[in-house]
Amino acid sequence: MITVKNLIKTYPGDVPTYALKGVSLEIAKGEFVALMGRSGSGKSTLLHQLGLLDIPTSGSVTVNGTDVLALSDTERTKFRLQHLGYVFQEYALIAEFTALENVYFPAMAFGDTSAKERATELLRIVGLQERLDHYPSEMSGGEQQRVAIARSLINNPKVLYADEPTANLDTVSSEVVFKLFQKLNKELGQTILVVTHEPEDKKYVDRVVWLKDGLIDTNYQ
Amino acid sequence: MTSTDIKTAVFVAYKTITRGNKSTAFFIVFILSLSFFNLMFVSGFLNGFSDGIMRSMIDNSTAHIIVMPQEEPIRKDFILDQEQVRAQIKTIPGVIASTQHYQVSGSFAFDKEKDGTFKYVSAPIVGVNQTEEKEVLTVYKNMVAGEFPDDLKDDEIVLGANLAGGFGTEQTSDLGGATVGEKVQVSYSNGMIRTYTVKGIFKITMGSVSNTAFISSQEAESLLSTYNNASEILVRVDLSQSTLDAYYSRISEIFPNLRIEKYTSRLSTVGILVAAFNIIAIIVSVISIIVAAITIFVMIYVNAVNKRRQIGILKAIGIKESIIEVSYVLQSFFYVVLGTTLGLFIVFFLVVPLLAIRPIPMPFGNAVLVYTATGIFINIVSIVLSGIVAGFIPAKMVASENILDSIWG
Ligand SMILES: Nc1ncnc2c1ncn2[C@@H]1O[C@H](COP(=O)(O)OP(=O)(O)OP(=O)(O)O)[C@@H](O)[C@H]1O
Ligand SMILES: [Mg+2]
Repeated sequence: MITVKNLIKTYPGDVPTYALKGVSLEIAKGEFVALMGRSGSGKSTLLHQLGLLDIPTSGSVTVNGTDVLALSDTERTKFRLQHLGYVFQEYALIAEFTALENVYFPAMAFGDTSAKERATELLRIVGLQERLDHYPSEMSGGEQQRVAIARSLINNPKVLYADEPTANLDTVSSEVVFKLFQKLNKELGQTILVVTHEPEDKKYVDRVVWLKDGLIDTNYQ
Repeated sequence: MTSTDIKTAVFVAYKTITRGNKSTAFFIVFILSLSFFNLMFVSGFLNGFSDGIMRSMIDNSTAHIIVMPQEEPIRKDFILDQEQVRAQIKTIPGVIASTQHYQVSGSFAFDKEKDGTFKYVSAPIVGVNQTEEKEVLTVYKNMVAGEFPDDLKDDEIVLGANLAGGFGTEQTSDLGGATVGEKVQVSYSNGMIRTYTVKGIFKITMGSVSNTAFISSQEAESLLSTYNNASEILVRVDLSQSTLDAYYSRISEIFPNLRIEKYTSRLSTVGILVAAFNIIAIIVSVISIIVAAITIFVMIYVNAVNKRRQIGILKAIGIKESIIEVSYVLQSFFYVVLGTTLGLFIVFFLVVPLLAIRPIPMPFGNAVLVYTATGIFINIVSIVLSGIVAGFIPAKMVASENILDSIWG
């Protein structure tokens, strides 16, 4: 599903930061993978590149057979909308939209007319059927994060990326989120790559990929 | 832009406005309405100024069209058979009225202190039939003393304030303060000397009409030993029915031998003033539009910058930049339309009625805001256009930022 070859990301500056120094990685369809590593090891950077939110310095990324780095700006935006789900550490909901609107909006932008029903269904799956018309400011962090997860799934993404989705949540809410990922993975065969720093979370995933100083740390595998 | 894209943009704009901070929205609309009001007020006021000057000239000096005696092939002193000429002019649709003038010139003599010392002043004298004159010129509405009787007798005269004197500082060109009821002596170039009783004094600031005197047309005819002729005929027309040029050409067609002029060619110094005011009005309007555009830009920019995170999230989801831009253009369009509406409301339901209750006096009458449909249209279009541009640029700037920077930057 995802093939990463020799991915390099250097943040230019007075002192350039070599955040990714040549990462190669393969994630199969239907796999649930955790990305772990010390703070500053490059996890978020890697996820940003894979989620097409940023452009790497060099290397190649193939998602579902598409060389995504070869896409134009507009194509990349469309690819993101159509094939990728992304959950940020901060809930990144649109404050002016209700839970339901936040979830169906990406589908609406795609011209999907049945978006509302699907969004309602997704919110039911994440356990928020009672919160459809609530605005983000009226929901707890865990609830907002579950709305964000529901949103990331609305367009049936090929891959779901999540960058420390539970970092701001308490243990109980974190468990809910990871159990949800597990369920999506097992029942729908959703490919998931999740960044986490909780060793606890290893139990939910198929495989852990370790990053150290911008490189895959094979010692752990 | 597909219809889905537009729907998406409208949805974002709608939610952003309705869920946004109401007091911020009100503030934006209020500031926009003030910029629009500023634009409208300045242009309306300056229009009113030049309009007032022109109106004063038309109403008190020239009417709309001036008909004068033949010049080619031979120069004549009078328009002959003025009754017939005016009857023909009257048949033109839209002509309201016309009046006949005899122009003479005389030397006034007035002994203010009745002590044998006379002050002598030369001044133009116009012979009029006041019953007809009233339909064309409104000098009679500007009396500062006495009246301008419809049946001005042969030995009666109406003086302009600048000729009579006593209104404002004394001039060598005035009689030193002739008042109603007093007698003035006039010697004409043909040697005739007449004595008139002053019946009224009028004061008109614009133009030179306050330097002249009016006598009856029978008196003028007897002085000039003529009958049913005219030195000039002034024509008042209805400009809502037809253009000035159309009336001008129509009259010129009927009387190819007479010299015809439009009031616009009689404006002289007043015309320079009006032209200057029109230029000032244009400059000030352009500056007002620029100021309004910058105001809109700043308001919308601040608004868009406040929404950076939202814009970043929209982009992260996979919403095209063009949709985001359109959405923000729609939002500023909404604010501009509301601001413009409020501005129009302030002008027409607040300031115009207020000026009617509490007029600001001007040399030509009270200050009024004058608008043409075209003028209002241009003002609205320029403000809405600048709103669209001013909405587009900041949205474009924010939307083209790096996604991660706009979410967290
Ligand atoms: N926009 C940026 N400009 C410059 N340097 C950056 C930028 N973003 C990240 N970095 C640097 O790149 C390196 C990797 O950062 P990254 O955010 O990927 O780490 P991480 O593994 O996600 O850490 P954490 O667990 O703290 O989130 C760090 O040294 C960081 O300082
Ligand atoms: Mg990180």
